[in-house]
Amino acid sequence: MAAGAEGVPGLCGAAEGSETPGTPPSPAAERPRVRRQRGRFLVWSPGAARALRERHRVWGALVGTPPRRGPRGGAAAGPRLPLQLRPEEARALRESGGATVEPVDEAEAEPSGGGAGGGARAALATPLSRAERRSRVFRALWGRGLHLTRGGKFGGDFLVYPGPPAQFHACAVAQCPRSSRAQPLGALLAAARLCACVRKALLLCAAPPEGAPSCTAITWRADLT
Amino acid sequence: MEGGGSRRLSTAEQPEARQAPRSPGGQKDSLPGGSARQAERLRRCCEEQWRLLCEERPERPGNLVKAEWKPEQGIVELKSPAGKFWHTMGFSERGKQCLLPEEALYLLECGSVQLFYRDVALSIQEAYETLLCQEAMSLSHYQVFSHLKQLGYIVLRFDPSTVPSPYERQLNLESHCKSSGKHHRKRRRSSSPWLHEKKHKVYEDLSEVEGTSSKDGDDYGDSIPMDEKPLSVQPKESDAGSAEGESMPVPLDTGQKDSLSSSSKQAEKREESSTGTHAPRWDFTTITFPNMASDQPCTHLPSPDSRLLPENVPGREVDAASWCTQINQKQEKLSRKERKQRERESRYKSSVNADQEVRRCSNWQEYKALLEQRRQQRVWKRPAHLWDQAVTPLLRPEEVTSPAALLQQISVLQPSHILDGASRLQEDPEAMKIDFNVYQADAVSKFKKTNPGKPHVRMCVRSFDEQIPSLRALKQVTYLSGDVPLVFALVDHGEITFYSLKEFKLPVDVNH
Repeated sequence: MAAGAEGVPGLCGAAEGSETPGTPPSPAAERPRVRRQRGRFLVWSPGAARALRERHRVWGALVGTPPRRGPRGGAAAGPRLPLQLRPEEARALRESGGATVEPVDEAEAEPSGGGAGGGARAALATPLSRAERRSRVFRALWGRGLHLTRGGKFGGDFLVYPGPPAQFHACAVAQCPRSSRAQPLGALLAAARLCACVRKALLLCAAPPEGAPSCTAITWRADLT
Repeated sequence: MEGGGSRRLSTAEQPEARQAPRSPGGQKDSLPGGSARQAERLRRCCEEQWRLLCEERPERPGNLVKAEWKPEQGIVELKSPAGKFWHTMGFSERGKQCLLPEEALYLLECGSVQLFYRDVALSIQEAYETLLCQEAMSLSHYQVFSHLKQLGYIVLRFDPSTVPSPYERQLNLESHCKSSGKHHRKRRRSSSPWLHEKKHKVYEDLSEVEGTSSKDGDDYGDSIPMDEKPLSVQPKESDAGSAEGESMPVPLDTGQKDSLSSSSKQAEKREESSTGTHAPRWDFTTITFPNMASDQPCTHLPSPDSRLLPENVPGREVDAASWCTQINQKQEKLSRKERKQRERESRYKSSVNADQEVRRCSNWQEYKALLEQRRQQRVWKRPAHLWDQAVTPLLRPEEVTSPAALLQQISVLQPSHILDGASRLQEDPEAMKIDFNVYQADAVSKFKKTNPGKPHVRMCVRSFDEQIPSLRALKQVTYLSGDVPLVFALVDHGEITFYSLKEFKLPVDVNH
């Protein structure tokens, strides 16, 4: 297997042809609104969903029930609104000013997520939770202009696309392992082999609070086997 | 574990290479910098999709069923008569037609009902935010429900009290209960706590079979007051009380008389209590049972000791000689088949009474002593160097009849089933809950809400981020599901994948 960041477009060199993150935050009134209820994030307005996808590169998943087919049959329509966002997507949008997150019930507390209290958590000994690690990696990769969707299909945390998922194949499967713990080699091999079968790279990513984000790409060298 | 289908995605989110041809924009690219023409085509496609997405959901105002959300009960009450969906969804309560929240939300999204709360029609967004507040029905649960309904399945909430226990399944109780006692099951699907009715535990009546012994020794069989149809719902008559006799499980379909009547042969007088739990009041070494068989000379029976008799039963002396001459008059005629069978058996079978040593035994004690003595003589002489050590062979030669049996004995890993030991696991309030019963789509025409029957699978809805459940938890929940397969629906913020455990047996090589 070879390790290195080559061959993963968008990850090395300058981010090309994509919006940098920090699209200056639009005035609050115009921002897409995300409704948060019990840890789930939904976007109901079609305009907002479109803006999130096309301008902010946040894809989420359309989870509404499609309408029944018409009496004359016809093609089954795709799923509809609402658009459901993952926690890391919602958090990245909130932090970059791309969207406002509104709680549905006033009683719900603001999501701590640990991100806001980063300064207080100077103790390096505290290991980051899985959600926290994913959130940071998402922010780092998204910030470079990549498009990220859910990676559960391939046993990872994200699927990394160089452009809109409708237009491009995913180039990598990103995992966010714990950097403090040794990874079992078997799991690594299995993941690398799987990615090789589907022609993607395996990315091991880390974005620690104190330090630069780093990615390692692992490829299985079929040409040497 | 094997994976099932994942949720259908819109064409804007097609997964990878396999499905690329379905993308309306044509083939997907691997690297940016594709042709401008392709990008333009894709852009137009996206426009079209967004336009469709922005369309209002079609509604037919004339056909819309009106319904009202009742938060204090957690259900939706119909205000106008239900439509076609009533065949598989909804329930009746206090004369009104009602829907569970997930059913109402699904129908709202399909455009079949209109939902009101405080006289205001709810939008879909408001309905999502208002109806999905229960513990039992969160957004994840609803997404699984909606996904399965779109595929055509019938989905009902799971109710643990409706799962037949293994004992009931053994008795084949469920098929019988279907035809009777249906009215007990009406409320089964509701989530409201006060509507939850315990299933009528019919089998408890069954285990209290009266084993009243016959008081009179000469006639037997008819006096056993066992009910041939033990599933009648009325409480059974137990004149002797439940302390009487043993509890005997009764197979429904076979005749019961054989097992009990055989125990009532032989003895002339029988004790009141048929259990062996009391110490016998009589000393059997002094009481002999006369042998009245046809080849015995004993025909004279003296009057029995009055101490052995119950109060109002008189005993008398009997001379059975005249009776003996009158029985066994008719020549036994065997059919051809029976004769052949007898011939075959006579080659290797012999009557135990033909053995002289057995005839010399006058009671059971002596007979058992004889058997023990014979067994001792038959013991195989074991090689001392193998068997007298601390470590002995696993098997004796006579224990094994085939290579498969041999392998079975010496194998280190025994095959196990997920349900091994599951019945002994304690009830655990933290155990996983089963959420839905799922019925086949093609059974819709025969489906009856009041008696849905056995589901196709049961569904557990879990989050993708959770830990894989422990073996103990899996055993508990599989046991809870009875004999219906269990499927786990893993919800990952809007995307669902289905997994189930598959039984697998390692092949055994017995041909060497």
